[in-house]
Amino acid sequence: MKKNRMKRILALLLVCLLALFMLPTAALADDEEQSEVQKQWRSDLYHVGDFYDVLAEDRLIAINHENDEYIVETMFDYVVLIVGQSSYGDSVLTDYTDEIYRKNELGYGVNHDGICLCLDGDRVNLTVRLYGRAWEIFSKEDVDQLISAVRQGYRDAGYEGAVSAFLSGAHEKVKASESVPTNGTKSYVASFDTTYVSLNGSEPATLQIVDGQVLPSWYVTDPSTFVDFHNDENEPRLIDLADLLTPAEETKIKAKLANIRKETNQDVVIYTDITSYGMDNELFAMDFYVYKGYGVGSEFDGLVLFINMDPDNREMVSASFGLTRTLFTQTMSSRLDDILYDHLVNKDYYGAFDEWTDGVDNLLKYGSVDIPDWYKAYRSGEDMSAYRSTKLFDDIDGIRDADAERIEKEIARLAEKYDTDIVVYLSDEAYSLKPSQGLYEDYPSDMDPGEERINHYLDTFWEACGYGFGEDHRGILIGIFVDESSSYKIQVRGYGNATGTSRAKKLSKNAEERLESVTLLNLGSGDYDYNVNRYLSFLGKFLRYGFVPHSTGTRIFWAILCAIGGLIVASTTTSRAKAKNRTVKEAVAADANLVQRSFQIMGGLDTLLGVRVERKYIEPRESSSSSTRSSSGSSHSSYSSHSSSSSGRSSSTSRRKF
Amino acid sequence: MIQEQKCPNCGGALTFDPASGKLHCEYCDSVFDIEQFQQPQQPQVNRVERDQAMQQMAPLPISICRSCGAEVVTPAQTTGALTCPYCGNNIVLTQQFTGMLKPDGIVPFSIMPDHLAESVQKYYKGRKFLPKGFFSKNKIGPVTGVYVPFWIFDCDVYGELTFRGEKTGKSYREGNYECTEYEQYRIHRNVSMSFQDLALDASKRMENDLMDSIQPYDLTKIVPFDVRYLAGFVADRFDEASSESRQRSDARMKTTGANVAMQKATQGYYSVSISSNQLQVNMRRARYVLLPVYLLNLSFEGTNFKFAVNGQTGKVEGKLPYSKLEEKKYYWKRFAAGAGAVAAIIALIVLL
Repeated sequence: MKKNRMKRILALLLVCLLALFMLPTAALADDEEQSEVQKQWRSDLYHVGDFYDVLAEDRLIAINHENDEYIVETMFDYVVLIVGQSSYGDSVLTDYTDEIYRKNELGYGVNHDGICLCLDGDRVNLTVRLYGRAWEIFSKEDVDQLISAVRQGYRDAGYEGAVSAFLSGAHEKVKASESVPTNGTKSYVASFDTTYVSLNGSEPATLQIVDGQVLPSWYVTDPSTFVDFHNDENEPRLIDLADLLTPAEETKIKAKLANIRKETNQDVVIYTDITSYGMDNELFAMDFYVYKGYGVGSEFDGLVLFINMDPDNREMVSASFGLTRTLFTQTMSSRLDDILYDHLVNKDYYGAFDEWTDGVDNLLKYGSVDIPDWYKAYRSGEDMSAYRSTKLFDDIDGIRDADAERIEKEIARLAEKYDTDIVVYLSDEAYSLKPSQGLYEDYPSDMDPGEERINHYLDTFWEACGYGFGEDHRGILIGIFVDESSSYKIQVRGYGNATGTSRAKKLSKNAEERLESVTLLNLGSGDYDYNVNRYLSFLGKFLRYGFVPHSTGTRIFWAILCAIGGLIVASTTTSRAKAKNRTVKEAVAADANLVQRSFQIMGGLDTLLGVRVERKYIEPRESSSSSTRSSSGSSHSSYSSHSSSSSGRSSSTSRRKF
Repeated sequence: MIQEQKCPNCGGALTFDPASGKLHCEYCDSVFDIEQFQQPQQPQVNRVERDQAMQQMAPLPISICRSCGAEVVTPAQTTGALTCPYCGNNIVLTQQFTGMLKPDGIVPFSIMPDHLAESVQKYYKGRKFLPKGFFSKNKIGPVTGVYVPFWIFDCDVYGELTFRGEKTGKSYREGNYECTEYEQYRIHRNVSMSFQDLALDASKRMENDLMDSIQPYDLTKIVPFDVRYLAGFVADRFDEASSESRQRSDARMKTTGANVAMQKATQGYYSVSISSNQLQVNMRRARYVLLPVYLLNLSFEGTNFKFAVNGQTGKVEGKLPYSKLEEKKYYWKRFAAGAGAVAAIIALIVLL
């Protein structure tokens, strides 16, 4: 037994010795494997880190997977950090970036080769840091180009766009270089400091940091210290920080703006950016206009357009000041916004500013955004005979040439026969208002009622083109306003003797309305040829007989109306007469014989049989909301805009998301 | 026994003058109070079995119209022609009966028959839909004053009524719905009430609708029956027993009883409808009374239209011809007027 026990003890000891011998060997193998991994890169970490929570989780994972492939392919690390101000407190962004890079042992190989982009969402800043052999690959121009790509990506698709632009740009550059991984020193080397720059492209000198918040340098944080100044001719009238225009396009727009200022003596300024620095866009635009010293004259006359390309707060804002406010009505500002919107949604930035500038030019010179050619010609004193000879004035190209020719002949025949000038004017708008936009409605903010507005427009047309026969310029004009949404308005105007020295031919208000109503029929179908012919047919009858006959449909309607009236009267009176014509009737009750006060209730019992429930639907009451304008539109900012109150300048604004 | 009133002065026949309420001699123009002659017997009241009692009353003379069979009571034996109040024919009295039951009372004529034709014309003057030429061609026949027999009932009505009614219960809200409960009840009521002086004509020959229409009579003016009130008039003999008339009177009282009960005994409910009427009628008193009626016939294109005039109040009721053609004419005239008015308004609007 003892022998067996000893054998067992020896065997156990042997096993223990073998285990002790094997243990250090396995640990050493692990160390060697780990050391090899560290020499390459930290594949266990995300190399694109979103500490600002702006990227969707699935997108973040996808970007990292793609980035991992870049790293392995080029043996070069690409790091992106998206942070907020709270991430690094009072530290400097570049130092913070280096610290993160170092502490996490990022970078490929022993020299930690890599490039790092750090985006600060709060301050809208970025920095690019180069490590290891990156300094051999990227020149300063390359980094600038990379930063431009990042800005463009941000404008197009926000943070994801910026990150993608950076990764793809850097990867392409590294892939194209002939640099090889360096073996040698383990020290971290940053070839040069790219200096932190604003994500929106403004130079560091144009920014200021107040209480940890980045603001434009022109921004006055304490209005009491602001010294009022204006009409600064040296200030550029186009500031394109959002980089929407090419230099050549900027030059063209600047020239137009300068020309407007010269001819109208009113300042027109365009400002684009990718942020409003946490402030409300409208108030930010007004602050910009005031603190930058724009405006002409004592009332600081002028107009500013601010385009905020921030993907989360994309908006266009217009604000007018001084005398320009009287022209910048609700109608006109809406029209200008329409022009911008149509181009901006298609990313046609030059087209937007070019057409908007033309509209503003028209507005400041003629009082309306859209000005027809005949009016410009009239105002510039051109010969109007070409206009005068055109009796069918088709601005909407609604009538084919062949039909137009026939109509012109009919107009000429009627005009000659009755010695009265006849003009037909087709247009889609008047005073920048289309029928669907309330051409004939009364806007509280606009001065003229709709009908008077159209009458004034047509009268101006008649006078400007010099229509009318004889000294009294007698004639009849019909204005047909139709827009693409098939909304329409028709107005007939008579001039000179056409409005009636001759009683039989008097174009009374009633006759005008009759002509309008007969022309309205089927106008929505877009068959303008039919409508104009119908109008001319009835106009011919009016000129011949002195009144406008009613259509068959109208007559039938009236007949039905009369019949209904007759039926009501006949039925009522007949039933009354029948009631009066009562005859003797046998009595069925004895009410008159009931002895008063003899009625008694001797007892009773009320038994509940059932309950019927009626349900009536009540419209849910909507909570009232008011569009109170907040002085601070962003939760990221502690600053509020205050220019309009601090400077005492009056202004009116319009804004629209796009 | 034929009772004849003769003038004490000249022996001529006396007639009752409704204007003065006295007997008048048409020959010597003498006037006599009725009391100067025989006092009539006091009317018997509170007799439920009136029919049997009537058989025991003193007989009165009765004449029968050979043309239509009407039985009328004449005040005295007449040898000349008499106009039948029903058919309007001059008939010869062919037979005289006795045994007319004596009424409990009579309401004497209070108005004269002189201007009844004008009253009748006034009655139909404003009426529409009368045939063309009716105003000019109609002929009003002779006026006959008739004492029409009526049963006057005083009754108590009692019993159980059942209604179905609904009243509003509680209201509350369920989500976006406002709910209101309506409770449905069966309502039992035991009620009682009294009726007085319900008059129904007791002559089958008289049309009920005509007799109902000329009412009411002021029954406080009932005087004890005296045959001398009949002087100058005729009186109809009742041929409808009180038990027969009661069917109609009971129905009328039950209807009124149910209506009144529905109004007074179901307060707090709305949408009340009667589901059971178990009212019973207990007759307290039935009186047999003669009420004054002028009868006349209006003939137009061969058709007679009967008119009746309340001999106490002068209320006229009658049946008139009805022309569908005139109704259509009337309708289309008004139609034209209405359509014209609308056309004028349209023209005014268009011209302005």
